[in-house]
Amino acid sequence: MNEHTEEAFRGRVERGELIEAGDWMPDSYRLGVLKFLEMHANSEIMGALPEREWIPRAPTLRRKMSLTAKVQDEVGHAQLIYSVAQDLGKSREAMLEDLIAGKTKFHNVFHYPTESWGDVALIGWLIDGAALVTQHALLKSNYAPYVRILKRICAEESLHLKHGEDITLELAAGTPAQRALFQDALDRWWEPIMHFFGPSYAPANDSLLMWRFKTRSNEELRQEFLNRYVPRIWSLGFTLPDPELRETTETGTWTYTEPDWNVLKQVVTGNGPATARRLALRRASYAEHAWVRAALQGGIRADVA
Amino acid sequence: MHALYEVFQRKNVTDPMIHAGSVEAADPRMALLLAKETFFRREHPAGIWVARRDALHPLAETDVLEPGSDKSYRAIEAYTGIAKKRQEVEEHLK
Repeated sequence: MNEHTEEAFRGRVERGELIEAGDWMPDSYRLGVLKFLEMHANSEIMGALPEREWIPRAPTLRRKMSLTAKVQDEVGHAQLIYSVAQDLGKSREAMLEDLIAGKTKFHNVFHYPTESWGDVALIGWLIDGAALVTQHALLKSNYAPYVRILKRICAEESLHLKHGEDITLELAAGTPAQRALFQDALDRWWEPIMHFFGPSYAPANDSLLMWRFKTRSNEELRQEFLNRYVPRIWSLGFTLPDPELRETTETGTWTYTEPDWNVLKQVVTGNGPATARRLALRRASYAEHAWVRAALQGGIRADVA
Repeated sequence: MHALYEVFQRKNVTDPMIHAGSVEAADPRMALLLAKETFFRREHPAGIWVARRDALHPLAETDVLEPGSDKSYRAIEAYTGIAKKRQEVEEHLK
């Protein structure tokens, strides 16, 4: 039996043990992990909205069906993560209400409008690609319930990535107008993508890294993303709106123009270009669907089953 | 009064539980002991669960699990060959 002290818990963490929901844990671990999971779940449910806007405008029936399936997956991921987060002491209802009240956060990239089908390609390939880099790293997290669901989430995200890349390749091989759609999307989304990983100076006081819930720093993840995707973007003949972006071959690291972190702070605190509209949509659907939640509380009656 | 218990195990803590078999036992503790001796004399799972069979609710009409229409777009196989496609596009753009 482990002692219920922060020191004993630190010992477990340092021995590389995995933590379960029922284990004793200090508040700084529990609350830190809860906040992280809540933000991840919020991002999945809010992340479904930008793409959902393009379902009616998808160019073919098959694209429409695969985009619908993807949106459905994202909402499903939110369900999985909210369930894991609930075990840490906050009800699903409270999490959803805090989200629509703007009290809790979701990823910066979901605060932006989706202006064209090129944005759908970009989100599917590069935003999902960025998310997958961070989620893959979290498979080494020490919070076991999260790791278990992340395995399923990562498998589905790999499919989304190919879905996005497939749309991108279609645009890349298409007419000048199709190529322009993707180039325009890159020009608008590059800074939000760089913001996505967070500032490189964060790790020093990142308690989730200290507790080994997270295993890799923001900058390591950004570097991995740049290393994997920038050469591919360039080889499709597209450009990125950062003249400083280059790989230093001796060190294998990428240099880039430091993004404006004040912009990120503004965006994630509720002042992004599409924040108000998206939260209003989420709020409206939460209110309109109250009767569905109420109906579900009753279970299935024998005479209708 | 004995009851049937279904036994589940996982290899590692981060794996999903997998059904191993069933045992008949007087109570959950006895079911766990019997499960251990019956199924795990050689294997060393990271965890075992037992649950009374009458507490499980199998889906009777498994035909509802069959897709009602072509859902191949949900499968990773829908994108087999994407690396080749990328090469072709890159080649074409040179």
